[in-house]
Amino acid sequence: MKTSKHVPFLFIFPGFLLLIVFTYYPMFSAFYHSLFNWTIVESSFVGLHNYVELFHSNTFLISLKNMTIFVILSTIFITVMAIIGGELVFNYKPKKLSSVWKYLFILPMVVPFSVGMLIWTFIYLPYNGILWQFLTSIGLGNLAIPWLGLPSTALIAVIFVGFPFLSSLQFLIILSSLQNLDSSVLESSILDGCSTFKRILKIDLPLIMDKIFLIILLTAIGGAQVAASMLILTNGGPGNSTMVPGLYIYQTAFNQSRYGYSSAAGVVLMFITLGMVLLIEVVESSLRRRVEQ
Amino acid sequence: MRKISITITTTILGIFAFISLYPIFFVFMTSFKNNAEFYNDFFGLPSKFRWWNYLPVLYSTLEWLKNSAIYSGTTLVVVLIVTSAMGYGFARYKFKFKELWFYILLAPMMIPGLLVLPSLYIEIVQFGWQNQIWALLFPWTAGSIPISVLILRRFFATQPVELFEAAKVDGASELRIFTSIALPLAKPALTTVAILNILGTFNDLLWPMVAIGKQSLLPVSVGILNYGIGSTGGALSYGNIFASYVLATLPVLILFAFMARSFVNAITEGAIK
Repeated sequence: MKTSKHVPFLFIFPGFLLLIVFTYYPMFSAFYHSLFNWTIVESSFVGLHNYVELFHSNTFLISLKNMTIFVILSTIFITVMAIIGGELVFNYKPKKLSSVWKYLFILPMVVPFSVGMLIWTFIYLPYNGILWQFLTSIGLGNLAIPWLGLPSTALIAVIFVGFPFLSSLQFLIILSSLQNLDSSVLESSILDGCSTFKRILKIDLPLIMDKIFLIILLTAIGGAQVAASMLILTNGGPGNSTMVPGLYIYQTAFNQSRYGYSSAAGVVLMFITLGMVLLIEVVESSLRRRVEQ
Repeated sequence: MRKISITITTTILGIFAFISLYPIFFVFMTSFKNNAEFYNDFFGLPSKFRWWNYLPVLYSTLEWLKNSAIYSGTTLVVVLIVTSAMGYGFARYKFKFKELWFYILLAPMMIPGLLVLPSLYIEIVQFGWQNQIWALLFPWTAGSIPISVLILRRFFATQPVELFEAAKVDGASELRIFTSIALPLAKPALTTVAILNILGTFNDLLWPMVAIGKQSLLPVSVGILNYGIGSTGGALSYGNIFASYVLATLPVLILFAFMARSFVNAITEGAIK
């Protein structure tokens, strides 16, 4: 049986054509034009000027600082909540109800992203918002402040959008990896008189360590590239207190028509993301080596 | 002891579930309230089933939903055709530099989408595609290729070769073997790819915001921002605004109701692969 040499080519060609035109070309175009003063009608070479300006821009530097805080805190919160939620649902007795909890938690995923962000805007809304009304009705009126509207609280408020973070990929990953664990190992540990809490720390968590690092990686990458939610929640404000690089890329391109400068910010963000991925992988492999010793 | 721990777990889980579900319930209930009820009985239930709250937002929300259905639906069809062919090509055939080609295909997963936002925009302006479906269809399809092909290649690779050899002896063409043997058997993997794709395009905000400017052509993810709190200038009540949120949520809710399990599998699989 001979297959013509062209057959595999025909199967993969259309996809590669799309990748080249709509992924690779714009990617190289972004790198290339980051060295240009680039508008829709013209482009002129400016060398590294865009990059120099970027690192002298107060807004961009603040955005990097905010991003760092956002990535670290949201990664910690989301990962911890995913583990807590995953373990609580996994160990829930009777077992039958365990999946009811799972579906309850992921139900909010059906809400479109934009609508979800609009609802959170409403939760944080001063006076008429859910949080404000709730806090005043239980006598915590002094905590009823415009959380998204104050420079000192806006970033932390944005980080808590989505709390308790169980309507998430991260929760599903932890839960499914717990459910895939060898149940005989877990059962024998209980026969040995191990408490559930001790079993979680000594057996469950080490066994799903790779998945924990996976969600740390995914959450950190997602955090570094956060833009759409900021656009709806705060548009970077008040002041620049919630400005992040992703939003900066968007605004410099589409509010100021500085496409070359925006592309330069995109290149910087790409290297930051790659560096972060590398860092997490290094930490993971060194941790693993220590465990194996 | 056992009973106490079950009570504690149930309480904690109950609080978590309440926090994540209550705002959605609140929005649904408030969509039937008038302003007087909203201000005077904030946490109460609506006294009447005011379905007419939905009327002022009905037309535009349905129009945006229709646009979303056209954009995401068309993209889904093209994505399934293009990525299943690619996945099959990589799983079934041997060719030069196959693994290298595969890495080239996967590499964009490492590139932030934000990097290409400006340059892709200029590209579609040069193509004259603003406000046209092509501006969404092609970039979305290209964007879905890495994860989709990864999932499909793995699935096609598990199909036994004998299946295809027999058909080949009977004189079936390569294309026919693909469409009438491999594809029908790949339904689970195709479902996963389809759900991931629909969720991705339906929820995408930044790219359609950039590519589509005309109000009547917006997908619901962008259009609904017209009904942000305070952005209607008081012309609409909270009831009206929340009615539009409820309408926008219905399609995926219905999808979820019918295929909750595939939904969960797709999301987890998409991440773990």
